[in-house]
Amino acid sequence: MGASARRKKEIAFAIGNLVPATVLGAGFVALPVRFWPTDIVVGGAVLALGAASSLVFGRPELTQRALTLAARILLATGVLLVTVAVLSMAFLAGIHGDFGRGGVTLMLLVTLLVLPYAIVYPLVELWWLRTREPPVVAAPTLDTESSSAAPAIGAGSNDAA
Amino acid sequence: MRRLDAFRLFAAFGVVLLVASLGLEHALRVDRHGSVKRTIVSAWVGGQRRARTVVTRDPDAALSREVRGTRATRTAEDVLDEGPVLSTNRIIFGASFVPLRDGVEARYDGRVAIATVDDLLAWKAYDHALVLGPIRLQLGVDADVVLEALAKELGVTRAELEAHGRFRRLALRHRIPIEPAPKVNIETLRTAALSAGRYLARAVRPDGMYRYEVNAIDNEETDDYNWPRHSGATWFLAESANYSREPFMLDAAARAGRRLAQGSLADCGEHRCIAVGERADLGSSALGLLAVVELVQGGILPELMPTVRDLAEFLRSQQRPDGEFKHFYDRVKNEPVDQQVLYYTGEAAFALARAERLTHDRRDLDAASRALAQLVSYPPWYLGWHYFWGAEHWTCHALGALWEKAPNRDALNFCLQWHEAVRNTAIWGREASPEYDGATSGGPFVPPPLVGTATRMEAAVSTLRVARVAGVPAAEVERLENGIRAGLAYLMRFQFEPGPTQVMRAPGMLRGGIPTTTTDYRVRIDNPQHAGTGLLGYLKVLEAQAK
Repeated sequence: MGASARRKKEIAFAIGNLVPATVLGAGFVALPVRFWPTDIVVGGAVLALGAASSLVFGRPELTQRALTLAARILLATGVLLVTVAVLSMAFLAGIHGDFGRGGVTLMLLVTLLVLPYAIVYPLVELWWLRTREPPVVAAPTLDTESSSAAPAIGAGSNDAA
Repeated sequence: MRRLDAFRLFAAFGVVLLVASLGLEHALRVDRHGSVKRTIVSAWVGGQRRARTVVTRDPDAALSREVRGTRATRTAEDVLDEGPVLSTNRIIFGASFVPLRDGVEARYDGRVAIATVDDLLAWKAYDHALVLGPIRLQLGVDADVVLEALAKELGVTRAELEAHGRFRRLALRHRIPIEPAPKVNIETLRTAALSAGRYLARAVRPDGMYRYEVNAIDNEETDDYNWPRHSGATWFLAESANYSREPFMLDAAARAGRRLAQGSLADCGEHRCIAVGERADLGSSALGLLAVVELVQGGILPELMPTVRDLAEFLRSQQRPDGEFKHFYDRVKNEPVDQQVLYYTGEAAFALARAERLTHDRRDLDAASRALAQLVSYPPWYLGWHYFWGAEHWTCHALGALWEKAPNRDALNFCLQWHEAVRNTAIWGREASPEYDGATSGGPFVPPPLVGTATRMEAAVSTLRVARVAGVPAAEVERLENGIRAGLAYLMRFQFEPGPTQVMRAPGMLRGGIPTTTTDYRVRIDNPQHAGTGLLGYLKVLEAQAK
């Protein structure tokens, strides 16, 4: 993959991170009371995602590390939310038995809303960050035109891959 | 390799979560169809438990000698199964019990205290929602009330009980009195509808005001009052009195009607309206008109015919050219206020349609007809109305009242679609509470509010009457009627006919009442009004069919 194509994808992920950040941020604001464990997890994830996106634009050499860390935080948040949702469903199913179509639909919707943003997306991001091509290191050459094309943007941030 | 490890880790997490969830569900699950393990027999007097014993055989004989010759009511609740309680944390403890189905057993230092369903009702342990900011979270029981009461029974402090006590969930079923499961037929509908009417009749005081809201557990009243609800209740009371011609109901309807006409009729500019302050609202006059029409039509208060004309005139004067109404009137500035709120347009349309039967004034019919058309006209691009519904009962009542003289096919389609949504979003097959089938849901885990079902059923009956004569396909009419039967069965199941009298301080006064939910025993006057209107309406449909 060429450097510019890779950079485009990094920027796409940086912008993409703002979507779950917005969703989680909206959820954070909508919560009726401040409960510190939830606030730390959700607020921390929002801040991490925002900071990572800023670094991708402001400090391109940190792109790889920033995106990886943000994806891991988002994935951890997603796993936590799904775990809590699934265990809550199991608890309520144990107490109420089959609680009817309405309850199942509601819980399924909650889970399905979390899954794409907080599980699938960071998994895809991590997968891409790990499988991306190693950075192109400029080989010593006499051809001044080709050497001027390297190093690629963000090439120095590969060590986290 | 690292990718494979990550995949394995994720798969392992999924398996662990699945196993943990299944294990949790299995550990907590109870069998509500199993054999009886033991029976909790109690004796109640005046809503208070006075004696209790737990037996494993011959429950019908337990405590029978003790209650013989006394005013005590003997009850028996079978324990079908039991399960663990994970924590005394308010949220987890509160959510660990199915309302009206589960009891709590507490053991402390070899002593045992049990809170049965009847105890929880008597302690009002179901009434308190957990409030988180603007959210009211209705859990199974109120942990504070239950833990305090159990600690008192065991003679320890709540802190001691929470620290050292052990709790179990008991799956219960009433053996005595047996849980009602009324069939929907002419006989049961007549009993239920007239019982709702008699409740309201008993609630009318000598001065014509109602006992507005009463808690059936302690017979305590609230200080609130609401004139639109006075009018609505009087409308149904007059209708049931006209149907039964019982002197007791006729007298009560007359008292409530006179109070309405004498105590709340006021000037709104050149018109007469129902108002108690500087600002008159359309709803009070509309429901007042409905009540007065019924009182005049049945010959209860024929002298109120001029009031029918006055109120109809006021409603018409508030109508805009597009059919909508200005919902308020400023009595200081003597001008209508063009603001709209829920219900009033439908109420005015329905009231004018009913009034026209007495006034024979074409203007009443036209005004009602234009209002109904306005209520059901949505721009074709707004798809939301097919999915997001308000409480449209007055719209469907107006449809029914107008069909003969001013049929509106759009309104019929509107009401049929609404009732399709009502049926599809109703509770069906809730395992712990199959008796909720057909009820309008208030949320997946909470007892459904009865008045929500009641308003939908009364509107469904009005729609059914029209659907039958309007050539609606038989399959759709059948679906509508099945929904009505299920909804009305649910209302009758939880109507105080007589209800769990053992936990009530004055059950005689509450007979026929419709509680707010299946566990919140406050009865407001519009609860029996809405439920009774649906019950009486369907009774008349079945009676007409039988002729």
